[in-house]
Formats: sequence, structure tokens, C-alpha cells
Amino acid sequence: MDDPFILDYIALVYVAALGTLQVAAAANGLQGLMLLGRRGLCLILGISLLGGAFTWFFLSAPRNVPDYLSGLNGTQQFYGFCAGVAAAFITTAVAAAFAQRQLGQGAVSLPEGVEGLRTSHYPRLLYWRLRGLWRR
Amino acid sequence: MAAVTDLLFSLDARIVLWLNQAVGIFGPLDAAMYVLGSDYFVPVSQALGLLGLWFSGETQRHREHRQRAVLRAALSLGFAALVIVICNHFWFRERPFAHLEVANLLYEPTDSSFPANPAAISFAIASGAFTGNRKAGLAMFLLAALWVLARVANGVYYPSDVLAGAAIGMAVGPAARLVLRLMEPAPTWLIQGFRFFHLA
Repeated sequence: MDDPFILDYIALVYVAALGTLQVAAAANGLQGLMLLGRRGLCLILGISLLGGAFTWFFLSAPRNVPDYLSGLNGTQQFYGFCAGVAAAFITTAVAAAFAQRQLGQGAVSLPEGVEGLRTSHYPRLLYWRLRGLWRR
Repeated sequence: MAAVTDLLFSLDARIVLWLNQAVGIFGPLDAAMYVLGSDYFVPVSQALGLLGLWFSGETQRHREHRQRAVLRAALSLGFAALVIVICNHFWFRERPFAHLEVANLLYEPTDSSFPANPAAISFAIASGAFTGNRKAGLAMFLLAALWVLARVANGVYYPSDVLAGAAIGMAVGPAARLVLRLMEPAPTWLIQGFRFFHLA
């Protein structure tokens, strides 16, 4: 049995999920997830990441391989996908917070759920949430 | 009955052979079929579509409607996979490439051809997504159709396998909806849990 290309698959999902999050953030005005200041630029970045990820994945090695050789079965794909998306979300949240450090600063209250990402970055929202829990 | 079955099998084979004429004659079309017919392009694209759907929506209410559709799509995928496992336990149909002389750009699977697993899972995801956002759902139906078309053209499935798989994928959608309704308030709690951490 050849080495499965699980790491390649996770890399594909990671980069493509970074792109998807940029497209979703730009299309829905979620400033707190945007890596670049302008929505148009984020959209271009997202589409480029998506296209680049798939292009690299399919050009870098043969990918039509059965799962009894180096291909991936459904379970491996599921766990690989979850790992790639989780890593992409953490990266996006941290990088967007770094890129937009002032976002949400001085806010008295922050909206619930994803709505909060329109006016603040994720680490700030999480800090507020955890601080609120601590004070209860 | 046997005559009808023979006629259907013959029609199946003729469609595969007709579509297979497109394989190996035009490089860019082959490349497109290689990518579309692989185990990775359509499933990853559809799953990323669900990720995008989860974060999309103008208002919280709008977004929750889509998030419930994502849950339905995920549950439908699970149900479709389960139905395929059960079907494979009772039926085994050999792949078209085992009987027909076809050009094939994809690998040759060894499991049952009927019903088509890719059709079941991709149509299940698409039908779930469609209930949350029609445009996203239609895009996913298109991806699902291209995936199975590429696999039929390469002699990996018969058209009837794909039709059965698609029917399973579409049929599990209402079942997933019903199960989620019966499971209330668990799905609401799940979304509220994600919302608590600003993830929904």
C-alpha cells in the first residue's frame, strides 16, 4: 500500500476553506473575518485561494487512486475535512484580528452570534464571551 | 419482466458506450472529466459550499434558516451513505468497464455499481442545501450531475445506477427533515451553542 495523501488533502481543504471564508466574509460583510480591508479584494483573494488550492492538488500528483492504494476513503476524507476547516477558521480569525486590530475596540456591547463579526474580530468576541462567563 | 430488464440493461450499456466516445479525444475535456470524476473535487466543493452557506445571510433569522439547511444536508449525507451500505449488502452489480470495452481515465472501483454512491451523497447534499438557498442548491445539483456524468462517461457506472443513487439522495432529504424535527430541541440547542461562541 502506498502512503495515503491525507496531508495533501488536508492542505487542499485548509487553503480552499481559507478562500471560502474570505468569499463568505466579503459577500456578507463580516468585517471580523476579512484578511484585507476591502470587500472586493477579499473576494478576489478568496477566489484565488480556492482556484489555487484545487489547481495545486490536481496538478501535483495523480489523484484518481483507489482507497486501497494511496487514495482516501470516506472516513479519512471526513476527518481530513474537519481538520482542514478548523485550522482554516483559526488561521482566519487570528490573521484577521491581527490585520484589523482596532475593529470592535471601545464597543459597549457586541451583537450575538455571527452578527458580531460585522463589527468586531473573533478573538475580541471570544474574550468578551469568556469574560462574561467568568463574571457570572 | 426479463425482457424489460434486458432492454433496460442494453439501453444502459448503449448510453455508456455513446458517452464514452467523448473520452480520450480532446485533452481539455479529458482533464475536466479527470477532475470532475475524481473522489475529491465535487465532495470538497459541496462541503465548502455548505461552509459558506453556514456563514451567509443578511439577518440572524435568515442565517439560521440556512444553518438548518446545512444540518439537513449533513444528515441527508449520512442517511444516503447508510442506504447505500444496506443496498450493497443485498445487491452486487458489476461495473460497466467489466463488460464493455471503454476508455477510462479514472480508477476502477471494486464495489457494487448499483446504486451509485457518488450520486446518492452528492444529490443528498444538494437537496439539503436547496432548502436553505436555491442558488447554492442549484449549483450543487449541477456539480452532482457533472460528477456522475463524468463517471458514467468513463464506464464506472451505468446510468440506471446513477438514477437510483440520485433518487436515494433526493428521498433521504425529507427523512432528514423529519428526523431533525423529531430531534427538536437538539438541533436548536446545537445552533444556539455555536451562536454562543459567535460561530452561528
